[in-house]
Amino acid sequence: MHIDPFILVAQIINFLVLVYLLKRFLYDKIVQTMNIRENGIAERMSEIERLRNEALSSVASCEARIHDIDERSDEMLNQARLAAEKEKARLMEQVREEVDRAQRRWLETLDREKAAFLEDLRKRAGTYVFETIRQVLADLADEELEKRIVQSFIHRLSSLEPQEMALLKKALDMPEPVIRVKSAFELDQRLRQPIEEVLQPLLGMEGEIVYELNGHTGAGIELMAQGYKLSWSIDDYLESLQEKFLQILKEEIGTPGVEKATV
Amino acid sequence: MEILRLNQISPDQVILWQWGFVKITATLAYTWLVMAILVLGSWLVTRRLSTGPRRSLWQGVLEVVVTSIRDQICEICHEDPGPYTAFVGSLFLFIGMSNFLIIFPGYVAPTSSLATTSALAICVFLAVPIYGISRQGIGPYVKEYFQPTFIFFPFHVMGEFTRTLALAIRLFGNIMSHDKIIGILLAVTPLFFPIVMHALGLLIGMVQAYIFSILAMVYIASAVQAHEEGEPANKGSR
Repeated sequence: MHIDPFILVAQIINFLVLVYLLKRFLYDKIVQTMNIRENGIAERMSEIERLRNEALSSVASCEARIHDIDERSDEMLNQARLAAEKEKARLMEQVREEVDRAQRRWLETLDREKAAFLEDLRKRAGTYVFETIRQVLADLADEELEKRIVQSFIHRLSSLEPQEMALLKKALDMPEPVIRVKSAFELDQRLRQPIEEVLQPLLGMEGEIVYELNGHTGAGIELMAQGYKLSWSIDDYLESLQEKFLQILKEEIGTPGVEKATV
Repeated sequence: MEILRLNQISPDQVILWQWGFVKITATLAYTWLVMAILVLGSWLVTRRLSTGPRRSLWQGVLEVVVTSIRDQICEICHEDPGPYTAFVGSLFLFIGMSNFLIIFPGYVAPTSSLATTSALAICVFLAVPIYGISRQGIGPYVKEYFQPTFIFFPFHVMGEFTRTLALAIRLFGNIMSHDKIIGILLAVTPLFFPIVMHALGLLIGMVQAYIFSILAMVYIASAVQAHEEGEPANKGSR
């Protein structure tokens, strides 16, 4: 096979020219373009990586903050719950105390009302009893009773203590002494005589006995002489009894615990 | 009956213009055609290159081609393919385009000319010591021819020539024989079967372009790396 030297040389030159042209118009430009693009992609990737790292750090920061907020909210919730329970307990205690106070007040009021009612009832009962007794005594009063009363008065007068007698004598130690005898019923001569027999020695000759009718003395006789007073009356007994009754009533009312225990 | 036309025997025989020993043959004409297609196509595409993520279809095609060439070179030499891309890539593109255009009627591949393949092989033959000396220096490079002993010098030199000859003959023989087979088949069975053979011819053309450029790169790489690896410069010859 013949090889033309001119063709051979021409083809070598052609190829070298082709290498040059392709290097100029193809490889260098393409490689340069790809390098620029690769650099751009690398820069973008590094930027993306940087942004990704920033995003990850931001996410981590946000997650930490969310976690912190959750913890704080839980803590605040627990604190609020505890405070609410504490406040609830305090209010419950306050309400309980108020209820207790109201109950105590109510019980006290009830006790007072009960005591007042009982006192009033007992007073009324006592008053009614004594009025009844007085009424009975007044209804039963007759001459025999008046005589008995006069006898009791004389007995009392004659059995005065020495001190009492001294006080009476001192009251009568004056010129023309007057003894006033007050009674709830009319003293006739038959009843006056024993009285005068007892008083006359004390009065002497100048003395005078004045008899007065006084409805306030009840079933009894009262002696008054210049500031000295001596009386005997069923009312005195009744009043003494009533005073004792009231005293006992007062003592009983004064101990509400006893009352409460008996309620 | 004329089975083969003259231009089907060798495009060197088709002289389009001649003045003394200077003559324009079909080989040169088709070579320029291929060169024009490659250079003009590259120029048209690379006029407006986009460095952004959006790019034109043809820019993408060229980027794929160049990237593939660089990757192949990198797989062989395991270093920056930059200094070898233009030479090896031009070998592949020229041979590949020359062989690809055989699908057009009336076209004869320049690589079916022994002068063309010899010219390409001579370029490889010259490129190997140029790259080797530029990388290692002339002393170490020449020293490789005397490894392991000086007795091997003639064998190394002989290997250089024979592999260059093998490059030229392999490419020429494959392409020329395929052309001849197509011509014969067209004469014998004009329907269908030549189409299959054309498709096979395209495959063979691409494979030969790949083989030629890869072998060239292997030779260059062995010359460049021989000193570093301490191995004979012609280890890749076959």
